[in-house]
Amino acid sequence: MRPQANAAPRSASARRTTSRFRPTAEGLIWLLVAGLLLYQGWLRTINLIALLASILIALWILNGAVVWSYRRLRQVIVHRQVHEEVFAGRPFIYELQIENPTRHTFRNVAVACHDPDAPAVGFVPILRPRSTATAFGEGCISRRGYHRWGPMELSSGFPFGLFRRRVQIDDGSEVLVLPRLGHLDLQRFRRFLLGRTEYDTRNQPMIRQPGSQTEFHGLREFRSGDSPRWIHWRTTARVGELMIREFEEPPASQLVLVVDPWLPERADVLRKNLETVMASNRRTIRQLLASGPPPSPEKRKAKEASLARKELPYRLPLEYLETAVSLAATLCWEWNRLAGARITLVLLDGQDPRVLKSDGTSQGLLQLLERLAVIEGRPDDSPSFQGVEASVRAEPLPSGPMVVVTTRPEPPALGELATSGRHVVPIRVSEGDHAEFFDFGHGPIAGSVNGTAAATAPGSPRRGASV
Amino acid sequence: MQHSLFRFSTFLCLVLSTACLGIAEAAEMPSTVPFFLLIGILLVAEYFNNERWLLPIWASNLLALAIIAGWAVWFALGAGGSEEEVLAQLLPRAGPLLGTLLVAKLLRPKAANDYWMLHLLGLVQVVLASVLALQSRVDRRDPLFVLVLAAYVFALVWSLMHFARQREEDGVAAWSRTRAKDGIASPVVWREGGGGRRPEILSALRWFVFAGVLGLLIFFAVPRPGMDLSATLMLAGSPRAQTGFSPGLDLNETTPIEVSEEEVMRVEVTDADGRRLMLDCDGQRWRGVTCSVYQRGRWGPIRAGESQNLQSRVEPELRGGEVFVTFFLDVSRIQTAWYAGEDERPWNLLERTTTQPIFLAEPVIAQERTLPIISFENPRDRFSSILTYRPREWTISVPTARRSRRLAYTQVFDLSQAGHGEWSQPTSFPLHQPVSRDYWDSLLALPLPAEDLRALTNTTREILRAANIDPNVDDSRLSGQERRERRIAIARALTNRLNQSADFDYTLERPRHDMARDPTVDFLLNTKAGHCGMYASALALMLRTQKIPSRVVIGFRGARWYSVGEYHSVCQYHAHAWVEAFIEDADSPPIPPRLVPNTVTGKVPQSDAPKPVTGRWLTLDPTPGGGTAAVAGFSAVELWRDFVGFIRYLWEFFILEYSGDVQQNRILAQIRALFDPRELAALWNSLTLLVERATWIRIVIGGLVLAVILALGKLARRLVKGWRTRSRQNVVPGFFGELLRILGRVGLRPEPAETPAEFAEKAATWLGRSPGTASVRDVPSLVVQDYYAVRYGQKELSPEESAQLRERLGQLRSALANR
Repeated sequence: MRPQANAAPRSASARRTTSRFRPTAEGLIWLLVAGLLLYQGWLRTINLIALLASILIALWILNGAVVWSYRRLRQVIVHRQVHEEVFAGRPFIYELQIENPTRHTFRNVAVACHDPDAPAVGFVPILRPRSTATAFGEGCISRRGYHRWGPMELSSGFPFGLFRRRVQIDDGSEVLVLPRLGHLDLQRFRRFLLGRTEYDTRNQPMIRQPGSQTEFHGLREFRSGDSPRWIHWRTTARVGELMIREFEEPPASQLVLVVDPWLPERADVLRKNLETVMASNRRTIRQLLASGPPPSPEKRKAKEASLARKELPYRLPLEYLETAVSLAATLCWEWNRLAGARITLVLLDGQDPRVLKSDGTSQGLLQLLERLAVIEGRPDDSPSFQGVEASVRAEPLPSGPMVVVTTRPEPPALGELATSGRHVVPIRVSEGDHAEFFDFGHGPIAGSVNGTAAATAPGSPRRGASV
Repeated sequence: MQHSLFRFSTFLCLVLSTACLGIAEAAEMPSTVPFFLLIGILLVAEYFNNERWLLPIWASNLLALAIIAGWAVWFALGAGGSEEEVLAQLLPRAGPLLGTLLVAKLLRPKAANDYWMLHLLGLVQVVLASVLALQSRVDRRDPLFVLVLAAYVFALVWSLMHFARQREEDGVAAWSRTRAKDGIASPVVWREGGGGRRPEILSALRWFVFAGVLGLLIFFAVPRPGMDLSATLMLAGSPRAQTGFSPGLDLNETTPIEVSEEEVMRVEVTDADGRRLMLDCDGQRWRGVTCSVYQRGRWGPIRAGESQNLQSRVEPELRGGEVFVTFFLDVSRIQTAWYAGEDERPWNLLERTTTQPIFLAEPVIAQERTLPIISFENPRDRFSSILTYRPREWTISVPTARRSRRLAYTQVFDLSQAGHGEWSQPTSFPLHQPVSRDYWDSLLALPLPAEDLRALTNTTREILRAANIDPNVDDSRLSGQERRERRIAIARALTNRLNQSADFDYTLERPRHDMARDPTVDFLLNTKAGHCGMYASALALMLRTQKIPSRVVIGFRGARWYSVGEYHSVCQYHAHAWVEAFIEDADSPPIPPRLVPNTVTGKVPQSDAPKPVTGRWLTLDPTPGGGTAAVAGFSAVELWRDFVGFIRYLWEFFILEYSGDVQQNRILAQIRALFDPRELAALWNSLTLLVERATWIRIVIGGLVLAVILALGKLARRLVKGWRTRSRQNVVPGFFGELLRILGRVGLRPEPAETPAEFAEKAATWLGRSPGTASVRDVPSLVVQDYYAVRYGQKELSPEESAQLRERLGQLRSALANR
C-alpha cells in the first residue's frame, strides 16, 4: 500500500479556525422556564420551587461553563488521509483522525465535514487528552486535479445540550484526484490498432503468468494472491495441497501515447464563460416561468435545448479535454496491467512537453496518472515539440505504435516524432474516434493501482500484485 | 435506536416526578392514591412495552382531549362552594390530569421535542407537588417527599445527559438516512478515542452535586422580600385534635388527641461570648398564655386586663449571669382563635383577633430590659413589632404578622434564676382599682353548678384530710405567716395528690364518664385520667375551693437539644399546662370583701382604699410525670437523632423558611463575620467548645461511620466494576451470548485471551469426551462461524438459519441438562 502520497497538501496553507459559542434553542427555553419558576417561587415565597428553579439555572450555567471551556477544541488537529488513489467520479474511503493535543477531555463531540464531495458526520463520545480518534469516511470527487478538503466542524454541547460550541477547522490540506477512469475494451482497442497499423509482435519474449487466459504452461503450488479460479482440483486432490494452472501470456507490446490537450482558449476562460452562459440561461428560464403560465413540456424542452446550444462552444472543448485525459489515463491503467507491457506518455502540454515512461510498476503508472491529473488545456495552434524532441534525442522512444489522443479536429503534425518510421494512430475525441473501444461513463474498473482492493470486471481473473 | 440507559433514565425521571406528585396529593386528597399507583404501573408497563405498541399521533391527541374533557367533568362535579373554595380544589385535582396526560404522551411516537415535552410535564408535576406539599406541610413532615424530590432532580440530570447524547447520535443517524438516499456516504464510525461508554450514574451524581451546590448559592443569593403564599394557600379543613399550644383549654372535647411532632420554635441560648448553651431540657417552661376564667369546662384568659404597649428596643448589654435567648417561632403553628362559644362561633380568647402570643423562658423577670426584641422575617411586618405586655400575667402578645411565617425575638434571661422558677417575683394586687379587683375576683371564681361545686369541695377536703391538713380551719383567724404556710401546704398536698397518686393516669384519650357533670369534676370523681390541661384545671379549681387564687398557664415544657446545631427544638408535643397559685406574703393584709353596689341606688358604697395584697405566684405542676421533653444524651441513637434533626433543621430553616430576614440577618451576618475579628474570636471559642464536648464515644462513632462510608464506597465501586464487566460481556450477539451462557453453567468459560474459535474448539473437545454430549460437539463451532459472519462479515442470518441455530442450541442445552 502506498502511504498517502496524494493526501499531502500541495502547498503549506495557513490553518484557519473559527469558534462560536451560543445557547441552543432548548437552552433558551430552559432558561425561560427556570426563570419563570424562580420568579414565581420568589414572588410567592414558595422556596421549594425557588430551589428547584435555582438548580435548573445552575444546570444551565454549568453547561455553559463546560461548553465555554471547550474553546480548546480549536487546538484539535484534524487529519484526513487517503490510503488509496482517488479517481475522479469514483467513491473512495478516507481516514479521518482527530487528534487532541491538549490536556483536556472533550465529550460528545459531533464531527461534520463540510465538503460537498466528501461529506461526513460522526460522533465522538469521548476524546481523551493526547489521544487520537480515528474513523473512516466515504467520498466521491467529480473533478480531477488538486482538491482542497472542506472545513471540518467540531461541536459539542456536553453534558446537557443547552449550549453549543462550534469550532470550524480549515487546515488547507489537499488531495490529488486522478483522472476519471473509463471503460476500455482492450480487445477492441487492439483491433483498432491493428486496423490502423501493422502491429509487429516479433522478438517479444514469452512471459509465464498464472491465471492468464492463453496457452496452458504447467502446474505449480498455490501462492497467496493467486485466483482460486485456476486451481487444478484433480491434481490438488491427488497431491493433497492446492495446485494452480500456469498459462503463457502472449508477448506484451510497447505503446507510445501522445496526449495533445488543445483548447480553443484557456481553460479558466472557457469555464468562466460557460458559467456565465449557464447563469444567463438559468435566469432566462426563471423569467420565462415567472412571466406567464407554465409552458407545455414540448415547448419547454425546445427552449431548454436552444439555450443549451449557447453553452456548447464552451462546454464541448472542456468535455473533449476531459474525455481525452480520461482516455489517456484509462489506456495507461489498462496497458500497465498487461504483463510485460510498457507505455510511454508524451504530453504536449504547453511550454513544457514531457516524455514519461512507465516501467510497469504501480509507481510508474502513478507518475503518469498524476501528470495527467493536472493537465490544463492549451490554446496554441502550433504545438512546440522542442522539449519532446530533446527528450527523444536523449533517450529514444521505444518501438511500438504511437497513439495520439487529441482534442483537435485534426491531429497535429508530429514532425520529427512521426518521421521515425513509427506507425501513428490518431484518436480525435472530438470526432468520436474512441467510441468503438472506450466508454467515458462509469466504467466497471475498480480497485487500487497497487492491487489491494477488490477485483476488476466481473468474470475477469485477478492479475495479482504485479500490476 | 434508543439506548436502554436513555430510556431507563427518562422513565425513572417521569416515575419519580409522578411519585412526588402522588405523595403530595396523598396528603391533600387521599382518594387519589390508587390513581397514582395505577399511573405508576402504566409508566412501568410502558417502559417494558418499549414502544412496541404506540398510538398514532391523531389518536393520542384525541385521547389527550378526551382526558382533559373527562377531567373537566370530574372537576365540575366534585368542586363546589365559593369561588375561593373552587380555586382551592383546583390544585389538588390538577394532579391526576397531569399524570394521565403524561401516560397519553408516552403512548405516541416520540421525537426529540416529545421528550422535551415529557420532561416539561414531569417538571410541572414536581412544581405542583411542591405547592401541594407546602399546603399540607408534607415537605416538613414527610422525609420521603424530600428524598423523592432529590431523586427526581438526580434522575433529571442523568436523563438529560443521556438525552443530549441521544440527540447527537440521532442527528448522525438522520444525516446517514438522508445521505443513503443519495447512494453515498455513511456516518463515520470511530474506532478509537477512548470508547463511548454512556453517561454513568457516578458521572451524573457528580453533576447533580455540582448543580445542587451552585443551585443553593443562587437560591441563597436571590433577594428575598415577597408575599407569603403559604397563608393564602392554606386550605380550610376540619381541625384535628393534636397536641399543641392553644390559648385556651376546652375540657368538653372527648376525641383523642394525636401526638404532633411539628416543631413550633427553635431556641438558641447564647452567652456574652457568643457560645451556645443548653438549658434544662426537661424542666424548662416556656410561658405563653395565662387563663384565669373558667366557664362551662373551658379555661381562657381574662378579657379585660392591664396591658401596656412596648416598642422594640435596642439589644441591651448583658449583665453577669444573663444570656440571650433567641426564639425562632413559626407563627403559623400557633393557634390564635379558639372555638369557645356554645354557638361554636369563634371567640378569640386574646384581646384582639389580630394578636398572637409569644413564648418566654420562665421565670420571666418583669423588667423592661429583659422583655423581648421582636423582628419579623418580612420587613413589611415591621409595624407588628409593638408588643402588648400584660404585667399581671407576664405574658406578651404581638399583632399577627400578615406576611411572615417566622418571628424572631430575643429575650434577656437570667441563667441563675433558671433553676429557681418555682416562685415568681413579688407582685401585688391593688384591690381598690376595679381592673385589679376584677382580676383578683376572677382568680377565685368557681362558676360551677351547685352539685358539682359541692362534690369538688368535698373531694378537696378529703385530699387535705388525707394529707393531715384540717380543711375546716378559718384562715382569717390565723396570723399572716401561719396563713401563708397553710396555703403552701394545701397547694403542695393537692398537687402531690394529683401527680403522685396511683389513682390518676395521664392519657391523651380524654375519657368522660358522666357527661352531665362538669368535665373537671367528672375527671376528679370518675375518670381520673386525662391530659395536662385536665390536671391543671382540677388543681386550679381545688385551690379556689380553699380560697387560694389560682390560674392556669399554657405554654410548653421541655425541649429537645440538638448538639449538632446547638439549639433547642420545641415541638407541639411539648405543649403543657400548669398552675400558678397566689400565696400572700406574711405581712399582706387580709383581703377585704368586694363592695356590692346598693340595690336601691345602684351606687357602690365609699370606703377607705384597702392596702394592696402582696405575695408571689407559686408554680405547681400537677401532671404525673412532669414534662414530656427528652434529655439530650450522647448515645449512638441520640447522635443519629441529632444528625437527622440537624438535617431537618437545615432543610426547614435554610430552604423551606428561607426569608429576607434569614438572608440579611443570618447569612449576610455570617459573611460579615468572616471579616470581623470579634466574630472570628467567637467562632474560635465555639470550635474550642465543640472540641471540648467531643467525648470519646463521639470520636469512636464518628470513626465507625467514616469506616462504614468508606467500605460502602469501595463496595459500590466494586459492584459498578462488576456491572460494567458483565455489561461488556453481554454485548455479544444473541446466539453466541446464549452459547456462552449455556456453557457457562457447566463451568466452561472463555479465557481472556481466547478467541471465540479457540473457545469453540476447546468446548468441542470437552463435549466430545462424554457420550451424552458428543452428538452436540459441533454446536459451538457452528455458532462461532455464524458469529464471525454476523459480527465481522456484516451477514444477516436468514430465518431458516436462525431457526436451525436455535434448535441446535436447544439440543446442546438439553444434552448438558441430561448429562
